Amino acid sequence: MSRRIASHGASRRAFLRGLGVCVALPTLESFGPARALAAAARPGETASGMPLRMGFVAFPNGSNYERWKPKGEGRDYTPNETFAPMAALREKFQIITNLAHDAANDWGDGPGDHARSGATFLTGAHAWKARGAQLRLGISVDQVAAAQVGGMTRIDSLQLGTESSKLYGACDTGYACAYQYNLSWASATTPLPPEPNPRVLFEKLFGGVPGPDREAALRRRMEGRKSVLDFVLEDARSLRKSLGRNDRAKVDEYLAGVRKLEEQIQKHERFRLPDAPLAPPAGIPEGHGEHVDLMYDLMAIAFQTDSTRVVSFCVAPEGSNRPLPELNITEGHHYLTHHAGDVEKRKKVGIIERWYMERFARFLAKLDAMQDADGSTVLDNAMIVYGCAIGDGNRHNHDQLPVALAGRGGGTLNPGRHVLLRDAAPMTNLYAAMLDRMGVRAERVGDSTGRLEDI
Amino acid sequence: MRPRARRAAAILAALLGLAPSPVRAGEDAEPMALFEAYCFDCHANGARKGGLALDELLGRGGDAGAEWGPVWKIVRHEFMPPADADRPTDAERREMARWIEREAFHIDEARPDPGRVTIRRLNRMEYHHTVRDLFGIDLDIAREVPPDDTAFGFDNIGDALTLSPALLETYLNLAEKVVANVVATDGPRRPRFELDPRRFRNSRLDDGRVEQVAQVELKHAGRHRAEVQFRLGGFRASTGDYDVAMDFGGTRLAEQAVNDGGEKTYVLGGEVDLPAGKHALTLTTTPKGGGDRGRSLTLFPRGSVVGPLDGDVFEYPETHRRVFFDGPAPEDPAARRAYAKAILARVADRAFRRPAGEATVDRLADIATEGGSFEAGVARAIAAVLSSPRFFYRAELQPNPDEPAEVRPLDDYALASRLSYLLWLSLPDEELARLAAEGKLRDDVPGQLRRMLADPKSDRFFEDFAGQWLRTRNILLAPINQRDLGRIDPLRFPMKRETEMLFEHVARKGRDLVELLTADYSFLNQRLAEHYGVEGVRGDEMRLVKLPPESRRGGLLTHGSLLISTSNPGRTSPVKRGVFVLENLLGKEVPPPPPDVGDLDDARVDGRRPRTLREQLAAHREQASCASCHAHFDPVGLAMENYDHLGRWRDKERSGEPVDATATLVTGEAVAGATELEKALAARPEVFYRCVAEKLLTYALGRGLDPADAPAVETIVAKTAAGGGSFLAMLSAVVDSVPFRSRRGDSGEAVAAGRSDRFQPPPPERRGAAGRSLAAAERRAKLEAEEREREAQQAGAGRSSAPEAASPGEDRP
Repeated sequence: MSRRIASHGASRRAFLRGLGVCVALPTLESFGPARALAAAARPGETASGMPLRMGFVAFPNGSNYERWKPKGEGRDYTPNETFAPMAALREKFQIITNLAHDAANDWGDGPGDHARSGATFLTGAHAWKARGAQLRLGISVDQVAAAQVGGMTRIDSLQLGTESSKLYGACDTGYACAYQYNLSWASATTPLPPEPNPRVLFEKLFGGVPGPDREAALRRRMEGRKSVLDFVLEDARSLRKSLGRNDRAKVDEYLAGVRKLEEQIQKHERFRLPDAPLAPPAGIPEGHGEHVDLMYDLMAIAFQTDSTRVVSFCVAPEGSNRPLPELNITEGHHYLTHHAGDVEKRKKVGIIERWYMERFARFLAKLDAMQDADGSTVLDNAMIVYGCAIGDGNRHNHDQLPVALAGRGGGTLNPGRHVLLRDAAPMTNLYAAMLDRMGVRAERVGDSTGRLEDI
Repeated sequence: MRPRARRAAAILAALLGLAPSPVRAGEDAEPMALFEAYCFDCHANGARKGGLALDELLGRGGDAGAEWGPVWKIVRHEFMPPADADRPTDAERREMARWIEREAFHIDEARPDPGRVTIRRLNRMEYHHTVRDLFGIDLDIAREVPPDDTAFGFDNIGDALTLSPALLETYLNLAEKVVANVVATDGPRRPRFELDPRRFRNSRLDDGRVEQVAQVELKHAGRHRAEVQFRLGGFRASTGDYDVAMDFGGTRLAEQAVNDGGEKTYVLGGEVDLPAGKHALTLTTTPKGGGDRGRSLTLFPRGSVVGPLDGDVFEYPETHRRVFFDGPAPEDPAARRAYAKAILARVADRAFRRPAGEATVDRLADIATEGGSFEAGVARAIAAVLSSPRFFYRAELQPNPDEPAEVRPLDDYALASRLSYLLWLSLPDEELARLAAEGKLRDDVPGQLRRMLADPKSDRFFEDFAGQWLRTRNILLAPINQRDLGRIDPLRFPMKRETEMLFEHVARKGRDLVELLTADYSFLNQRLAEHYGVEGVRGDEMRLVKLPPESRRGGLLTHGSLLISTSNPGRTSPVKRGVFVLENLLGKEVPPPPPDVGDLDDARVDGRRPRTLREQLAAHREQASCASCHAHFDPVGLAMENYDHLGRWRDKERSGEPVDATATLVTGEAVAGATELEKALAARPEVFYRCVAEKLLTYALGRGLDPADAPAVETIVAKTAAGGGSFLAMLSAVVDSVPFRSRRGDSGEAVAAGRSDRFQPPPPERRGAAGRSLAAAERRAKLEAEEREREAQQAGAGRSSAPEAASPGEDRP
């Protein structure tokens, strides 16, 4: 596939310089003829023909809202202390106030608010408490996008996380753990577990086989896999015939996976592997901050090399009770957020919240230092949601959600503002508006009732 | 109205004196009287506490079936009537529950419904053990595959074991890795001796050093390369820096500084000349900065010894020889293919846990002969076997899978798999497979059960089941305050083992299961004993220790694993402890708190915040809506308050006030302390058996239980009681039960349930603030749209239809 970019000001050398050393952008192998800027962007592209990226970052346990909520609105707003780390990026993001996730409410399902909120965040769907343990949620916004633009990159979409072990039987009251741990859902019944291990993620991005003929080795492997897939496909089809309805649905999950792998093999034939701009990570780093930063780095590189245009990242699962010894905070995060007004606890929540924001700001700064061929930065050609489906961690409300939207969306967004909505609007209206800008056709996302236009 | 419901309504009417007809003599008369006696005060004749009017529900007959669900649970789990009201006896409760099962759920004990087990994917532990038993190799599975999701407290639930494309890819990559380890495609290799954690004997020296020794038998003299790798960290915070040294045959081969924070893999290796014979490979881990007592690190090493590197001794590894059972391939093409087919049929029959079939084996042989060496071809075909859904899923086949009315006994192959995955987390061995093939398994189940339990592979069951039922795995991950980490980290594994060993002991020795609660002994090593304040235990090895009464230990409720993982970092949580006991030892599902309930921490007494946790909870219980449930678990947790958040005995709270561990249970019994609490729980053995039976049946079936399983559960409980409460009696009853032995077709009810009314958003007024504000916004938008429509109609009078974009919300840019 050849990607076209606007000719104005974009020399190949400038482009490569912008990328930094040893990163080759596979999608820009051939520079096609100039395209009129006025023409409508194709799906997954900016008007200037650059890749348009979508990121969704979820942080856990709501916000410390009195430290989050900005004063004033529009361009002249005053950011609150949580946003202090973002000061240098002021023109590159906007804060949106008065979004709500109604589906995260209990709707008669009782406790389990964290599991439910994690599930709702990107789906706008309500996680019903298990009846026969059938998972039933909804497709998440990133997957709506991936289904339509995933074909343009070597990897459809990525799901990143930081949790490498899970407690047993201890997921939020009465919910299957799948709801709590997975932001992205390929369908109402298929959660996509996030990858916590930077090493595994690295192998995914840059090929699993080390050595100079990495590419050739990978091709050989894909070749061998073809005959395996042919075999199992026939096996699955014949097995399917002898199963009952519900079991067939399970085998269909398997078949969907096989089809994805087949697509992947075709993609390996179409796309060249990018060179790795960093050494392979050994595994999960010691500190949580180091871990989060490394995942952000890989996310940035995935965007920069156009390995994928859709990424979700759960910096810690909803309800996370992780203590943060690196901040001298020995109590669990979740425990602290239920501070009941306790000044000391509230202060600590503020420290954690600001610290997570620092990690995000560092990531945005990285994106903003990466140049695309149209002269804009990768951040300019991106839209990245940062938020949570719980408003205030102590109140456990699901309106007045803490939400920021970073990037210029390839010129389709109007950052540098505090967007204060008069009426509460579904969070999913923001998602629907983002999908429009992405060129992805979707009548609605989850419980969306329209489009949030003023972004 | 169904006849039964009509009869029930008639009886009810009669009871209420509304109808002239006399009460019909019959089985229903007594249960109805029970409902009237115990429930009607608050739930009939206009009273509808908690929104429940039993008389109305009865009046609606069969249509109200699903609404009886919560009532059934509350009756069965003893949440009603409230503590201060007249409470029915156990027998009366069972009568009431049975009546609901019969009349509202139409459960017919004469025609039992085995329920529907969804096809189960191998979870990662099952995959690990299956591959191990198939090929004799050990995977470090936790490094390769993310943990599986759990439901109903277990990670082997068919419906919850989903498969994303990324996970499938992971498993296909893993299949390639497995095959590369099993088959030597590049010809014979230098002799290789595999090391896994179980080969090492561990001992902790007094100065904090840990020595781990594996004996390696070398067949040939010469230069050997030893390599060991281990992973450190995970969720836990670091306990510090250590030096690890590796010696082989008395020679120091490598040294490495390590830290157990983060998640890192370390590799130590070196070469040495050694004579043939037995040699010790020793790993010594020393806390840095000298012998810091109380801080030490035990590794879980795996690795290999390869050699002689300088000789010309080459051989196929053991795993390879097991697959290529008849030696190297013959030259003749037809004979080669026949050999390939024989190899692949052996592998596939076992891997699929039923005959793979001629056609499949032929297709596999095609893959094997597609190119490359004979060995490489067979390796490719084995990768295909391991990638097949027939390996990946445990399919249970039946003739008419979509016919819900058809109940069939499980075929012998499926029965063999259910048994082997229950007790071994792995595929059937040769004997089970043979019995299944001969159709003799179902007649030999008791004998097979005994044989399977005697097999060391059954250790897997005890770790896996206890690890999840009693949540012992969580002690490995429980967050601990930084300052306590040094003390607790070395105790995590011993604490986990303590609980598992108690369960295994009680189960294997045929003791009464209630001994889990009342045992006057436990399993300790020196460290754990010191933590508990028990004297006279020396050394690192866990062993049975008799506990004198003054030790204030004995029974599950005094185990560190339970006490710590039900605490918050830095403080105990009586609520968590109480809920744990209720849910996991009494089998009661705690109903959700009412909507808009305040937080525990928000409770106020006379306008001030209560000082102690006990006071906070008391304030909480003041609210009637909280009391009905908290009265069940608060006293239980409060009775355990003599054990702090690290599981140590304490006489005083942090505030300095003496600990008050007295409590009045919801049954009216007064207890002081955990030991008396354990006695009170043990005094109702059937309640405990029922709880364990439900957990075991859930685990064995891989699905949640529903009311239709109640008769099966009651049978298991009765048989367990008749068998003196022994685990074998319970296990035998579980594998004899209708749900374990048979299947019915699938009406697609699970899919239908997903669409039922139950899964509709409630009206706005019953939703939270977000819902209300959204609903308000929606209403406004609608009004505005109507307004515009009216204007448009007035403007363009005569036009019949409104413009398409009537709702501003639907506009697209």
